[in-house]
Amino acid sequence: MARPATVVRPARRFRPGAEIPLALATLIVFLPVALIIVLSVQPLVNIISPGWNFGLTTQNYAAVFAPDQPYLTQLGNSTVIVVGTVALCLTAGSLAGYSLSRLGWSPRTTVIVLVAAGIITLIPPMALVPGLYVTLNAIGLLGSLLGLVLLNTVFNLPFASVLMKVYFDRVPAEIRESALVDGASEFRTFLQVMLPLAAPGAAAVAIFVAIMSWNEFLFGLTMTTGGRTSPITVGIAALVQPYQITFGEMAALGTAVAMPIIVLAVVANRWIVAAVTRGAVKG
Amino acid sequence: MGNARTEPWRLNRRRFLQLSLGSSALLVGCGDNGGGALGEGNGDGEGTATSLTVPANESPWLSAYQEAARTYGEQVDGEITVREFPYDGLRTAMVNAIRGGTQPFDLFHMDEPWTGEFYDNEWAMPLTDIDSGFTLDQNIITYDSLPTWNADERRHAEDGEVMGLPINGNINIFIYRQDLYDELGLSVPTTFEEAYENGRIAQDRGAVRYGYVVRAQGTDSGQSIVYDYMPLMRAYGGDWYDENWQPAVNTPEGVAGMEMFQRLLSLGPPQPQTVGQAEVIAAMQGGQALQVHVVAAAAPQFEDETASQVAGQLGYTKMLAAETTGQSAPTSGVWSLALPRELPEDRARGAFDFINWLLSEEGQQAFTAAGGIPTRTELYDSTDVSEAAQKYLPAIRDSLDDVRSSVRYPFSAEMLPVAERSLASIAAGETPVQEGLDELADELARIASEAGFGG
Amino acid sequence: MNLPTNSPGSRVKPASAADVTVTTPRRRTPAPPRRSLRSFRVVALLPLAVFILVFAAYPTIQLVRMSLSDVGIVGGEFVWTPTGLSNYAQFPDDDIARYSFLITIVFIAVTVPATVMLGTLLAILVHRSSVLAGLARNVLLWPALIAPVVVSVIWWLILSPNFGTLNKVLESLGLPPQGWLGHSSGAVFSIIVVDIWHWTPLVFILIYAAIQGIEPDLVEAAEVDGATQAQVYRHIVIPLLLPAIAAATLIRLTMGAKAFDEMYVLTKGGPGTATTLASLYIRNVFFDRLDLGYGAAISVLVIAAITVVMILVAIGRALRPGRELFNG
Repeated sequence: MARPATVVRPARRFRPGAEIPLALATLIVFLPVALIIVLSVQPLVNIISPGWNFGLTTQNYAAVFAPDQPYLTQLGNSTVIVVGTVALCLTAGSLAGYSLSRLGWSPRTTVIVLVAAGIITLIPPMALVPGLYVTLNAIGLLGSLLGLVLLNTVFNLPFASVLMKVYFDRVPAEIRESALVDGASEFRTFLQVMLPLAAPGAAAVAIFVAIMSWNEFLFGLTMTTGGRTSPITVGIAALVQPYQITFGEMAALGTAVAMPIIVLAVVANRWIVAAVTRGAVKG
Repeated sequence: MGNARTEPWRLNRRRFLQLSLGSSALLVGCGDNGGGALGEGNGDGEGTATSLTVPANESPWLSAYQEAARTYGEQVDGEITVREFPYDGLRTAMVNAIRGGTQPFDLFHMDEPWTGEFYDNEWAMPLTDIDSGFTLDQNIITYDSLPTWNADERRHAEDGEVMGLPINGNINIFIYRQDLYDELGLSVPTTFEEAYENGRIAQDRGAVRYGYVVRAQGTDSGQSIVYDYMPLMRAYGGDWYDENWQPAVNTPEGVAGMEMFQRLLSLGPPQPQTVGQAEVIAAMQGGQALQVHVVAAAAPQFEDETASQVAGQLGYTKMLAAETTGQSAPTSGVWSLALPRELPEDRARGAFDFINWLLSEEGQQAFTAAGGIPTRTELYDSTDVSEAAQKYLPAIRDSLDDVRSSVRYPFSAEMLPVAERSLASIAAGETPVQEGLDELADELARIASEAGFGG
Repeated sequence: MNLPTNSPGSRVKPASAADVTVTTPRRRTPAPPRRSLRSFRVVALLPLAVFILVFAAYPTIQLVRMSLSDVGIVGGEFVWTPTGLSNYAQFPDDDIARYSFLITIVFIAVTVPATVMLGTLLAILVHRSSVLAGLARNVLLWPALIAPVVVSVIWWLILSPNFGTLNKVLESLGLPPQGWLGHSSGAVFSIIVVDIWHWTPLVFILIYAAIQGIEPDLVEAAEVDGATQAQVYRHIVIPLLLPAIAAATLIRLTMGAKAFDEMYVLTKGGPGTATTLASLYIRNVFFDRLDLGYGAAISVLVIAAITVVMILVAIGRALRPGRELFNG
């Protein structure tokens, strides 16, 4: 049915039955986030004393990002992990998604491959940690950033492949065939014709994988030994110290880690929602 | 998402970025592998390395250690790189280093509970292996035989070999609000009973929120309630094991110690099992507590005016004694520096020279001036220390004769979580005292015999 | 030229496919796979296959092998001593292990229905809202985007019995302070609350996307026929949302089984072992107790349990032909 694209939306009526609970929900979500931002600029004295005293200080951030602290290095580590994981997931995922989508595998084969990839998402990562620990050690990548990049890739690749496949499914088969008839090789067709048309999918994959690998904690914890070898998530966890109270710094570091993602979400909000919508609506 | 015509160009740039970033990730990954520095000497063990990599934990005295290391590095025209780890990660890093067969570190940096395990497994080498004539300097404080290990009896003993040198003389001391004492006319206590009275009076008069705050939280790694409970347990005459490795936690003395512990906890926050180190420190620092007993390493924060509400208002004295025995039993929480056994000779010599310097008067001077707690006697009479240190160092000095070891057994890793859980449950009132201590005693007996002790 | 798009009712700007000009007439009969196709399609799958084999299949095999051996690490090498099923034999006597399985099941049983219902409710609310919809679509996503460790830090700063904001608020109101994190039941309650706060937004966005895909005609037709809003939702919208709800439930189920990060920071598995979920216990056995064989055995058991559940789900799917339970 050809219809101009419109969003299903009831007529614009003010419905307190919907608005009020929604306001409440938004508040429940917003307040804890606002709290950590506020706490991050409180001097420690205010946090540990009873009662409400509000101050303003940059002392926590200064302490966290001081040069002799490992956190800046850890932020760098996390960045490297994100970049590497996104790169690998986009590469391997778009190739795999394209292959499964348009390159003539039988439906049975496609399902088998998808299921095999999908199984990875069902297994708790911690259950695989003993096996992965041994494997990484055998390759000599235990404790290295490359090892973390590879592990993050493995656990995001199923999603990346499936999502790219869905987007490639939407690109008409004729386009590929036309390009082939025009004399392009399979690879060039993929790279210069089909992939650009699935670019929204690639962008969605990139954003999702970036968020997942930035927030990743379990492998960062178990496959490295802390300090300057770890991603920032492990650094935050390690702020719970035996000898010192570091609540201001915990809040500051937590804020610093969460804010890029939240800012990204605010700025790209409309676009993210659209991307998820497109991914979820089946052809 | 834009025009198809612009996409290929953008995409090619993206592919390029992917490739270059992928390879840079590779390079970074390779670079981070192993993560240790090799000694500056030749690989075959000649000479003495002057560039060392040593691990340390993130702690209040880390900067003092780094400062001392810097001073030493300048002296020998080398460089000591200190790699910091969170507490849990430090032990894991060292254990991994041992199992991994490489030698990323030139020193082991061990909390007291780990020393038994490390020495028993022969992961560290006796210092006489490097220098056959080595003897421990008389002015180095031994904290109930921490540096020396008797391999036959598998315990720390005065007649053992020197395995590690003590760094940062952490013991627990008693800290109180001098200003509130003056206001209420209280005198400085020497026993737990007196302190309890002080706390009760202050609370009844509404002068303070908590009369006494101490840890009662159990933890899965390290010592929490165990550490804060030991001074009471031992002051009243109990201990973990007697000379024949039979548990002694549930003796009448042990029960008396736990009962006093519970009385003190009743003056503290309503949920004692949630009170960990952070809560104790914050309670005092935020002005809510009258009295605490806590590791000395926490003290500098109390005197920091930018973070503490009670700077300049505190008094420090040695750990309290039990009224019945008059015995005070501060627990040692001192760290040790030892040499990994598999270290090549040049690096071992370099590390040996470093820790010897660190424990010399000169080294301790540098360490203490930067805020560390000294492990040599001379420094306790020195005036070249920070203002805050001048307040609590005398308390530590007075305690040195009575210092008792913390949990150092080779089987500490198995024993501590059990003890932590059990004590926390008893202290919170969830398990009756005698029953809980009896159960703990059974567990302790089992763990010791499985490790080859007693039984 | 208008090429037919694959998705009827795509709701956003026309696919860029429509912008591409093709210079030759479309072929009606697809060409047979050429050699370059055959090699390319295999090559294209290779990265995925390599990853699956090296980092999923091989470690799993190693895992099973470890569970059947006594493993130590000496000098960087793994030393294997086959011991049959003795590692598994430890499991029935291990109270903590059985408790951790139990508490994981309880955790899943509470958080999954809660997040799915709340998420669906939120999606419907946002759909029906006009004033707050834009803001809500923005803010409601945040918890799902924040790193789990940061979520735990936030909630620790709220729930801490001694410094937490919640107790400050309670005291200001004259109410007694809470000590949930200090008690077993309170701690379990806390991690459930944190999990719900953390992941309801994920369900929300999935269901919301599905609501957007519902044909307006269906709703309009029902309203024209005189149905009330409640009836519209009950008989049309929710049944149409069932596939998305099922997908969300499945996703949440697997996430529940994997839960680790939040508990690790918020309660460290405590007090005692109260919140030691399966993943936390495996970590403890493997890294703290250094019992590699037993840790592997427990891991295998967890994977086996999940596999059983998934098989049951798959059987359920097979018995309902025509229902697409997976999106995409």
